[in-house]
Amino acid sequence: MKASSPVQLLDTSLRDGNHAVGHSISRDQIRRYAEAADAAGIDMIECGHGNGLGASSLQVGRSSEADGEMLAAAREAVTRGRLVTLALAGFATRKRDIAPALASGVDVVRLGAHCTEADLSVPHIDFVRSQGCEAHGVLMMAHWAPVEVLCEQARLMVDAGAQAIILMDSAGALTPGSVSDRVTSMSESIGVPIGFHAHNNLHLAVANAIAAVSAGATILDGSARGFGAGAGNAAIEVLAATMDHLGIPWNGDIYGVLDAAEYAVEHLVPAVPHTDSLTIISGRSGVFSGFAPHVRRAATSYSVDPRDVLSELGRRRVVAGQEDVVVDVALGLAEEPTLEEEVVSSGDKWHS
Amino acid sequence: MTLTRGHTNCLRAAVLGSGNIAADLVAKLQRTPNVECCLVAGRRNGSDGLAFARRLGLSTSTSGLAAVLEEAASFDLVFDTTSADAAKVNWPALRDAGLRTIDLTPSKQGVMCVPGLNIGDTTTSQNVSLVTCGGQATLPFIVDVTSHSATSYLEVVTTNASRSLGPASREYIDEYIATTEAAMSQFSGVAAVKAIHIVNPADPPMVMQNTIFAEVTHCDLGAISRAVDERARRVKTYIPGFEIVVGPVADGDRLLLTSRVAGAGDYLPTYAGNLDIITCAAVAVAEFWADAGTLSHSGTKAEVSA
Repeated sequence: MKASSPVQLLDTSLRDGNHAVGHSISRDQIRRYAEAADAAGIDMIECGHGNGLGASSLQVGRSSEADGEMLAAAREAVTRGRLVTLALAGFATRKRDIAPALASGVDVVRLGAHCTEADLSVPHIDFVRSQGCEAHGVLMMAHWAPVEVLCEQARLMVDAGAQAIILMDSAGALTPGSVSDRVTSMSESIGVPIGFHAHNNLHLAVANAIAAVSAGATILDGSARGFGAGAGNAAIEVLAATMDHLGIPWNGDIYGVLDAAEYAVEHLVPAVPHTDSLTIISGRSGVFSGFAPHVRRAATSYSVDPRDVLSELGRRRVVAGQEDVVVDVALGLAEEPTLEEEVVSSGDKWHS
Repeated sequence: MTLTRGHTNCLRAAVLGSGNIAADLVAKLQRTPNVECCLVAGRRNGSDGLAFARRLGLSTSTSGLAAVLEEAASFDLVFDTTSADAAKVNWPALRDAGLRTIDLTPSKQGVMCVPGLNIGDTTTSQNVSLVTCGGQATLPFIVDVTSHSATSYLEVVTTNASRSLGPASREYIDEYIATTEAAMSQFSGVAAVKAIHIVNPADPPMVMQNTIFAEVTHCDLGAISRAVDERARRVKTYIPGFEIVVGPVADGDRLLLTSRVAGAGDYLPTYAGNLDIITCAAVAVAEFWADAGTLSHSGTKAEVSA
């Protein structure tokens, strides 16, 4: 394994973790966890609503803290590493959300779009760079498109000024081989550092992240105990230990990372994310991990099987941000006759 | 919007821009008895929109604004379909040339108009802003909701097929959001609003979908349902592919209403209802001006064409 310079770790507990708790992480939790992660020598600490700046909404979930309050709390705590936030095209705008985030002193803004729609984030990347801040391009739902399309989309972001490209396996649908193919092609052709963001739907988050590093990725996302949407992310403490085990250099202190994760279990993570029926079907169907609570809620309201809802969402090829379709699908399933009713009604027709 | 041919007041129009919206508008103007499309002025010779206009036998130019200004005296009005930034450059020049403008970009310079709500406000306007496609599809229903409830917060989520969005729509998504939000507040009187725009690349492409969320302290759901039904019937008269697919349903203190908008398939296939919803609005404003006779190059369309 060749990894001359250390892998950069990005801790997304305070951003992706927000998906797991209905976007309710408090300023106090942010300050304390960010201090612990920063003290452990984590390179980048990401903070914000699960769907990024400007995303607090009925569609994807209200944030209990305003974007500015979250970033101010994190900014106080992060002194060694760099403070990162996420902005997705279609939710965040430059004027309303990104400019204020820059003013609050973030070091890196990750500008994201669905992996086939990179041009939507081009004005955002251009803006962040023009303000003298580091910009990373994020391609979400990276399982969706073939390698050539991902490379072409990444190129649009790099041409706009993106200084790194992060592939997000937002649905937790990739496997080590498919991660390796994607990262290999991209690191050969893109010319900026490649990052990988895993989800654990198929229990492959750490394996996928390691496959990414082996294929040339130099930035890895993880979170304490995997605190994140759906089945969670790659557990950052496991990533760190596995890299030690494999002799892959990273910056930071393993005991510090383990301590931060212990702290998180006590004060930040109410339930450690785990792979269950819903997250497995979600991963298999290629549905954004953040849909899980919306699916559970709608399935209960309309008395339908949440697994059927997820399968139908996958069939409709929904992308992150289309949470309103969940109610539509659940209602549709509730109105469909069950198998038993169908048999009875066709029997009736037969006799009439 | 049913108008008889041979109307005494036929307006001569120029279309600025040659993207998806321009092409769809041009197709609709072919069926509009009292508005004649006399020029389609784009910037790129190879653009599909210009080729489409040429196939319809229309006069085209690649000189954009300059081409319109050159013949300014022969037009009654201009449809601006360019982009939020280009429209800001175009408008002062069009105004100085004495041309009334119907702006289909989110540049938000003129009187914001949704024909079903406030077309009367445009009688003497020199510049009419058609807000955004998401705004056109949802604002009338937002007004139905807020008229029968005490609403503290409004949200609109529009999802469009990736293929229905041309380069300008994609570049100006922030302006789309800002303009939609401004119109939501203006038409409803509710200060706390949010607009979200999602782009979906599924193949086959999905039909435009819009969801309205409202947070209400109390509401008359029956009255809202009746108003929404009536409104949907009226919208269907010019967009037959419009349908309410969910709601209005109440869930605690929130209301939800989802619609789908299939287009007529004039330029892009029927999934691109986002084009139709705004080009139909543009045609409605032009027809209103023709009817009101506030602009005039007199004569029927047949005479003007001859």
